[in-house]
Amino acid sequence: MVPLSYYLAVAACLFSLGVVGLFLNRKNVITMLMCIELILLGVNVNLAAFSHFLQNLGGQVFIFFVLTVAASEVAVGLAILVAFYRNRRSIEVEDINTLQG
Amino acid sequence: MAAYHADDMLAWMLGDAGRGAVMTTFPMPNIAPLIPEMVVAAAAMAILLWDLFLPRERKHWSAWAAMITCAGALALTLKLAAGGPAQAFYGYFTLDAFAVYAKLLIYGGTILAVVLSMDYMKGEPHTGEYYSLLLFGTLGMTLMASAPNFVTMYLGLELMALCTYVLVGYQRDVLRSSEAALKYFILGSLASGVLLYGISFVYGVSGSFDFAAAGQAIAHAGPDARLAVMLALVFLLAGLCFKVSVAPFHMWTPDAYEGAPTPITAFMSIGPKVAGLVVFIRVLDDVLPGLKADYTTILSWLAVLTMAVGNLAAIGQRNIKRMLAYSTIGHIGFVMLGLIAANADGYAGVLVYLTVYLFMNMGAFAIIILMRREGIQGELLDDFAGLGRVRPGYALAMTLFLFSLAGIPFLGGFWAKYVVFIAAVEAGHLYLALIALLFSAVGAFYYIRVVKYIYFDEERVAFNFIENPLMQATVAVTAIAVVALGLFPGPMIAICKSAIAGVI
Amino acid sequence: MLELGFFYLFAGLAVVAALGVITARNPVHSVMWLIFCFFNAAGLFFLLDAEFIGILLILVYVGAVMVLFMFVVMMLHVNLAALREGFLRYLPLGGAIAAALLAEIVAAGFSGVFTRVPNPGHSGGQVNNTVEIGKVLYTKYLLGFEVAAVILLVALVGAVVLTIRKRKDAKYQNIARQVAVKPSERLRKVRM
Repeated sequence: MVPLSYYLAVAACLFSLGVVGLFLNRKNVITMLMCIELILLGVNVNLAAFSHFLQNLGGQVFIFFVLTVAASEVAVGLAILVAFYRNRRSIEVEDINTLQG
Repeated sequence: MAAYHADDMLAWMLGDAGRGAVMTTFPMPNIAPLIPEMVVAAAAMAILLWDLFLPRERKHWSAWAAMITCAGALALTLKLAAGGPAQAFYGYFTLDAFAVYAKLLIYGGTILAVVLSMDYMKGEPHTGEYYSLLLFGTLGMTLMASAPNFVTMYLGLELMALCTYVLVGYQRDVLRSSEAALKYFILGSLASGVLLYGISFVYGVSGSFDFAAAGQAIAHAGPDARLAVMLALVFLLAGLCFKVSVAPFHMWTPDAYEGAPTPITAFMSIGPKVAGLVVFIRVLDDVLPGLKADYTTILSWLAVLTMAVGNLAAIGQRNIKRMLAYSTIGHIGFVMLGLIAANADGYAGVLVYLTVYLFMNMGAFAIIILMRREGIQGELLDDFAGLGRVRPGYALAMTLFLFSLAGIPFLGGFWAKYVVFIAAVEAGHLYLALIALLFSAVGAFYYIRVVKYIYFDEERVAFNFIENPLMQATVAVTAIAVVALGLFPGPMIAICKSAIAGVI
Repeated sequence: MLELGFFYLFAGLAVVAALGVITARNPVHSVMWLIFCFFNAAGLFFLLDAEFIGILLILVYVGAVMVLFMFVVMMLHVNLAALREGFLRYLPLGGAIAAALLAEIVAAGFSGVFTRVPNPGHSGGQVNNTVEIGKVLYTKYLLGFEVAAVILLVALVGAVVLTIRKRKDAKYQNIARQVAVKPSERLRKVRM
């Protein structure tokens, strides 16, 4: 029988890889969107594991909502990306300028 | 093996039925408290369709429809609230005095944003979708304000966020607009992911998505749960801080504010902040009461950082929208004093602050939009030069808004700061209140600099004002409100205190 | 034992695929890795008795969302060299942050509160996961379900509004005009 902590470790790996991917691929917006999917997948594995081990269906229903929202986010994100591409003719984003005037 | 069991009130109904043949009766939920939200959703969809059949010169009817919808929903909410606190949809929606007051601010913010949009959106394509998305965003915020658990909160939050991403990038032929939307979208999605990870740990420790139930479980969790609970706390705070733009999670704010169409900037500076802070208060008070010492420490440092970033970075800005973005960050830093005080007075202070902020900020944005010129949109600080001579009325109103934002005594903004500062001092955070006082003096500098431009500088470019009676009325009303709240703050503070009384 | 083996298989492949997503040079390869990652995650969901969610992940995610990704990757002309700029420069810092984050979360995952939860075992064939989800989704979670529907509508409207455009060089059919046309506009009598 697989213990709960193993599943949490997998979820942690997916989540961290998503975060570091966002950080490393900061010029490549498409990969950034995919990294967000990885982060949400990590969350979903977490929720599914808790749902099973607590024998509580709420976690699975929450995954259902997270999946719905993630699909909507992808649609909107790709639409914004296409609009950006049409203006800029590339998908590189300049670094987020914190204190620029 | 035991079947899955639903955790609480429906267990009796679901019970053993449906192992083979499924015969589950559908219990009609109590939907009455949700009627205003249903009206908003239905109207948003109706506007979407209706707009297709409107001829080009009557497109502004959609704006009127959106305004009437918000006013109607607000009236319905107030009428329902008269019946006392209520729950709907099996406890997944709650209508208490706190939620009602927050909705008052949210609907008010949307109505003003629609007024500001009417002229701005003239001639732009897809106005129906624009107003429809504004209404859907408002729906998301009202759901957040009424959320007693993470399910409703998360869905409301995402509904609001998706609408704002699209609205920020609405001028899709403008590079600045779509770039701002893209940055906002990526950082916002990351923040949602982090928040969700925190929620998943709360669920893992407590087995519930309900704020109160999870809070009970966390407060009674053993010492071996300490690490998991702290992780949940940090992730929840990081996600929520992003949504209300607390430093160091504020990076999206200046870009999104500058790139968005100006009415959307105004919209984003009120409603989402109100909804986000309501959720923040509910999470702190219901989910994390057992961790008060920990979150107070974290939030204190974040508050100092936020006040510093907001007020210092605003000094260097030449674009007024960017300056107001940093000013928003600075004000959120002050509002956080109310969260840190973590008592009824502090939370009431948050509501007072947001009420005053609604008027002064919306007024300032109305004047920025009124100054729109051919091509240029009156966004640089230099553009205000000589306003005092050309339009003394606008100049006076803008001066009032800026003085109020700076916290000059006997305007609304002064009492907003006063209430949260006093709450922080009484809760034993004297040093924080002193730091806040220092930064509000720094902040006064850049507000008053704009007043200097208005009255003491020569006009550089010819002004070209939009003549729109409704917007001029908005400026007048907000200016009078700022003065009136400054002279008679008593009733507002009393109402905010009674709104909080039911929650704590 | 068999279950543990499958767990290691799915978990290992999911993590490898996730690594592939963030390191692939070409966005098309990233999409492929992500699809592979979703398949393995679906395997993990099956091990957790979450059959409905597992199938949903494959049908909706692999079937629709990833196709959308692929479509956009193909549609936009992507300069591969420019996209990699900064990857190696940020690698040490990014790697350190990720390692710290991972250590933190894994430590939380192995803390006592989670290790003492016993594995409840599998419910076997008697429980229909989809039916159970349906029963709570349409009753207790009804509000969430309705709001999710509104979110999908907003995504639809938002995506269309941001990308629709009338191309100037394209020719459109104006049906109303076609139907309303009069014979005199189309037919010219010529006297011979």
